[in-house]
Amino acid sequence: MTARPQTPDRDEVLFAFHEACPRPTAEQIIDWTSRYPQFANDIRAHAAVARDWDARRELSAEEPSEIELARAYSRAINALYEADAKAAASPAATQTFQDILAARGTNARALAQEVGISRGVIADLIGGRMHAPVGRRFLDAVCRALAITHAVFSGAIEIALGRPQPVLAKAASTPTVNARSYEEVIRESGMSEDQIRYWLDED
Amino acid sequence: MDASTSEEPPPGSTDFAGWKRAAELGRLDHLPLEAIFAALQDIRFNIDFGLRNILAKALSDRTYKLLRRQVGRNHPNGGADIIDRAHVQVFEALAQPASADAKGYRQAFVARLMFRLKDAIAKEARERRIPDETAAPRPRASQRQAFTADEHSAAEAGDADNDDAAPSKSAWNPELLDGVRAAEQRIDIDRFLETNVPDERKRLAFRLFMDELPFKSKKSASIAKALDIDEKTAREWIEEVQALLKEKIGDLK
Repeated sequence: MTARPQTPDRDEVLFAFHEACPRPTAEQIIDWTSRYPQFANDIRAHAAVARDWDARRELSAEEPSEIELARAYSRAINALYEADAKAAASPAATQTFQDILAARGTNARALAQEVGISRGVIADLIGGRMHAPVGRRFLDAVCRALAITHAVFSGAIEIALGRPQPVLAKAASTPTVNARSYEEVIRESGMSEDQIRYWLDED
Repeated sequence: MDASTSEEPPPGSTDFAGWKRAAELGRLDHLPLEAIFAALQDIRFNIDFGLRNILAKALSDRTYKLLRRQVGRNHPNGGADIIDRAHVQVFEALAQPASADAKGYRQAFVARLMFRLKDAIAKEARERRIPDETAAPRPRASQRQAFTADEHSAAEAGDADNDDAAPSKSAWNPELLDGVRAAEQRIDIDRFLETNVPDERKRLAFRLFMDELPFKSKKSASIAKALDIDEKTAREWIEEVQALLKEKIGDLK
C-alpha cells in the first residue's frame, strides 16, 4: 500500500480550519498556527475574517441589486463559455472510453443500464466494433450519461476503432474483429422491435 | 444556510428531463445548490442553451446573494471585487471536475463557497496592506495619552515579568475600559469596527481584547501570541482602536 503524502495542502488545512472553527478563539488560533506554522499567516487571516463574519450575524443581511445580479450572471455565462471553449480545444482524442468510465467511477454494464440499451451495444462501442456515425439519440444519451461532449465521444470512438477488442473467440479459431455499422449493431442486438425503432430514430 | 430546502429530492445530475421539468415548475430556487452545480457540470454540453442558461442563472443569483450577505460595503469598491472573484471561481470550477473545488461544491456548496470567500477577503486585505507593511502606523500622540506612563515604560522595555498583561490589570487605565463599555451601549461595536478599522488584524486583536484576553501571558493564550506580535504592538493596536472609539463617542455626545 502506498503511504499518503504527509505534507498537508494549504487549502486542505484552511478548509479544515474553516469547518472546525467558525468563531476561532485565541486558543484555537494558537493551536492551529502551531500545528501548521507554514500556513500560520493564512490561518490568522482566515480567523480574522471568521470573527468579522461572526460579528456580522447580528447585522441585517444586505440584498444585491438587480443590476449586480445581472452583471454577475453575465460574468458567469462568459466563464461558462470559456470553460466550454477550453473543453472543445482539449485533446479529445486522448481519452478512451475506458478512461472516461474509470474517471466517472462506472463501468460498461452500469452505462448500458443508465442509457437503457442492450449491454452488447455498449460493449461493441467500447470494444471498437461499431463504426461511426452513431444514432443521434444514442450519441446524446451516452454523452449525457458520461458527462462528455460530442467531441470527446468522437475522439474516444476513433481510439476504440483503432485498437478493437475481439469478442472472445473459440479456442480453435483466430480472433477477428468485424466492426459493424451502428444500424447493424442495433438491429442484431436482440432488443425488441420497439427498442430498435427507438434507437434508430425511426419512431 | 440554504443549501437544502426542498422536500422533493433534486433530479440526478444527468437527468436532463428532470431538470427541464424543475425549471418549468420554478423549483430551481429551492433545490440544493450542490445539485444545480452538479447538473450544470454534467449536462451543460448536452442540453440546449435555454436550459443551460436557466441553470446558470439560478446558480449565479443564489451564489451572489450568499456572497453579498457576507461582504460589507467597507471593502474597496464596495466589496464587489471580492465577491466577483469568489463568484467566478464557482463557474471556473465547472470546467475542472477533478479539482478539489469542484468536488467540494458538489458535496457541500455553501461551505466551499464561504471558504473561497474567506480566502478572497484575506487576499484582498493582504494586497491592500502591502504598502503599509514597511511602516506600520503608530498611534497619534493624542491617542496614546490614555495609557499611563508606567505602562508605556513597561511595554517598551518588553517587560518579561509582566506575565498576564491583561486589560484588567494595573497597566490598564480603567477609564478607558469604561469608555469602551459606554461605547458598547451607545454604538454598535461591530459596525464600528467594520467601518473604522480597515486592518483585519487590528479588528481581530480588538475582538480578542473584548474576549478579555491578556495582551501577553506565559500561562495562557494571549492577544500577542494569537497574532504573533509583541506585547507592545498588541497594546498599540488596541490603544489605536480605543482612541477611535473615544472619538466616535465624542461624535455621539
